[in-house]
Amino acid sequence: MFETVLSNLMSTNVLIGLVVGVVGGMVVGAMPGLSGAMAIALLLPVTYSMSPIAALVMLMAIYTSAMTGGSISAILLHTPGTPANAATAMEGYPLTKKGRGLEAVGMSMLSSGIGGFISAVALLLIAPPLAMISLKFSEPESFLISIFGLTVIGSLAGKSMTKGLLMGAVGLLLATIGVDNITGVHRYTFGSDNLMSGLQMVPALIGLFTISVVLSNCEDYKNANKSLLERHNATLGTKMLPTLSEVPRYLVNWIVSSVVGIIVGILPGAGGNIGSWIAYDQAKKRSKHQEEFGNGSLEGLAACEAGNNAVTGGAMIPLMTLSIPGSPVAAIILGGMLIHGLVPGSKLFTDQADITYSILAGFALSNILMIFVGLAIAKYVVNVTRIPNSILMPVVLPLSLIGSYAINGSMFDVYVAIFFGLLGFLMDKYDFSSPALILGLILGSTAERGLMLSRVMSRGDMVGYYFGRPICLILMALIVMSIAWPIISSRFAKKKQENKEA
Amino acid sequence: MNLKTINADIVAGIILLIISAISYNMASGFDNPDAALWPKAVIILIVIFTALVMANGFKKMKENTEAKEADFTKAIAPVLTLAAITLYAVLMAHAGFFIATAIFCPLSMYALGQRNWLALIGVTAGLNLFVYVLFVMQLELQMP
Repeated sequence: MFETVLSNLMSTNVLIGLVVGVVGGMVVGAMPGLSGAMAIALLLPVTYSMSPIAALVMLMAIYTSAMTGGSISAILLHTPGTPANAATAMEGYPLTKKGRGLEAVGMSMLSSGIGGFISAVALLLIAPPLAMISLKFSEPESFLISIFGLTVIGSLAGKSMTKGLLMGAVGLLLATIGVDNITGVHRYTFGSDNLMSGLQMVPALIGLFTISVVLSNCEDYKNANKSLLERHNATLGTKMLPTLSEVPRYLVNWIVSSVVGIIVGILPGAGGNIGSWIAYDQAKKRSKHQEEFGNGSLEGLAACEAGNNAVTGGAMIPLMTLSIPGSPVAAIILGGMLIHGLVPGSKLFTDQADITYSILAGFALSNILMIFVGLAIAKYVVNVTRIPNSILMPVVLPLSLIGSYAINGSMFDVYVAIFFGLLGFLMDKYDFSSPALILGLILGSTAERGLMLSRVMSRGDMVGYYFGRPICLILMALIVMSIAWPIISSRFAKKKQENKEA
Repeated sequence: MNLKTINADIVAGIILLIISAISYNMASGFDNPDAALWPKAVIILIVIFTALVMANGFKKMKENTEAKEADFTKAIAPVLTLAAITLYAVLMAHAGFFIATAIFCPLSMYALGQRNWLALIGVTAGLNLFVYVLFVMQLELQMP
């Protein structure tokens, strides 16, 4: 088997597919508004003439590389290339301002590759038993995982927890705009067809994270001919990777974040967006340097990137074994598998084992290749921070607006991006957390759907229904722990401090 | 009370309370009451958190400790930028992306202090070419 897999992987077609997937995915991911899903959907017809292994290796390489590519613009321009990189922007951009952009990009490449590789190994080794979790996963669990995701707001709230919670709730309300999936009622659409499918995530993200930065940079228009580095008296830095002595500081972080990402990936409907936030939250709670989080923390950045890339392998587990796609991209990859006669299920790991394991090995390899490609281009792409704002802002803005437009080919999304840009600018100015609002917007529809459907499924006894489901109990325990942990740990720290002073 | 010294949290709170009241009223009119359950619960949460934020704002105003105030005089540059972005989007919708960008890009670069004519022309042409190659030729996107 090993020899067959190796010879399959070394064929010219597969190697070309691998390189095209990694480089192409990274370029697409770095462009705001262009997601891996879009690239995979567009390339699907191209794969008709390819062998199943080359085709699937290329599609999966795009999936994982797009997430990584999205971190480049998030770190250097505060523009998350994909929604899964929103958390990365929060830690990466402050690092760039401090002149550690190269180090941040290097850490992102390394963490992404490690997260993706660990998830690929998990996919190779434990796909069938792990997939059984998906079978036990229903609406109550879906609701609770969303609530668990919302507990992350504690880490994102910034200076005021109340304001963070308020913005999270505003995000939840914004997520109700559109036709209600369950009742079919039009909510807050004001009779507009554009609002029927709700607010699109990408224009909202582009507005909150990119256009808001353009507005705040224009406030300082007198220094517009200076680059980001000049304005912050910073250099580009020469360090790209952590030293060997620094690795242990990140090792546990990478592993835990990858495991978080894999689990989130397995759960249907969750995806990289939630994976990166939860991984970030876990890293912050465990960190000895919590004060760095939000101000440019390499630990936070490593957690986000390992977490969102680990989602890719996790999402493939239920897909390949039970035909359940864990994310929208996984659903498109399912289409690619079916085109090439690969039907998810036990036969994939028995009758078609040669092909399947070759694809999975190719996926693992793409994560390693991604590190090298990423590190090779990092030195060049960080030069974007040397470009003065008078050139950068007029270039970033059209790209952001056309990126918003490209999602649905709709000018309405462009206006949504501008609206969120203004909102993000004001929120940032008065210490209201934009990430908390985005988290509410991401999780709102999943939470509502889970709650409303489980209300019907419980037939009037919601408490008994929730407490009678083992996974629900675990998730409820995790939610309680997630809320209680910061309070308990701060009490412990206070007591420790008091004892020291005594 | 001077408008310039009103705490920003209070201004934001008043706006959110108005939006909450309108949203709650709209939710009460939904055809199916089940569709209003979740939005109403979320609105109640918003009102509670808004009240807490506003209370904190009033406290800070009394103590005069809050440095950040809703000073509208500092907002001229961002307001002008926002107006330019909106105009650019409107122009994009009517004249198309490439024409709108050919006007917006050099003008905004000039407004931000860029006086190098080579940069003004080169960046505008390069940006349009890049978008054309990626979005039109590769992704076959129907451009505005």
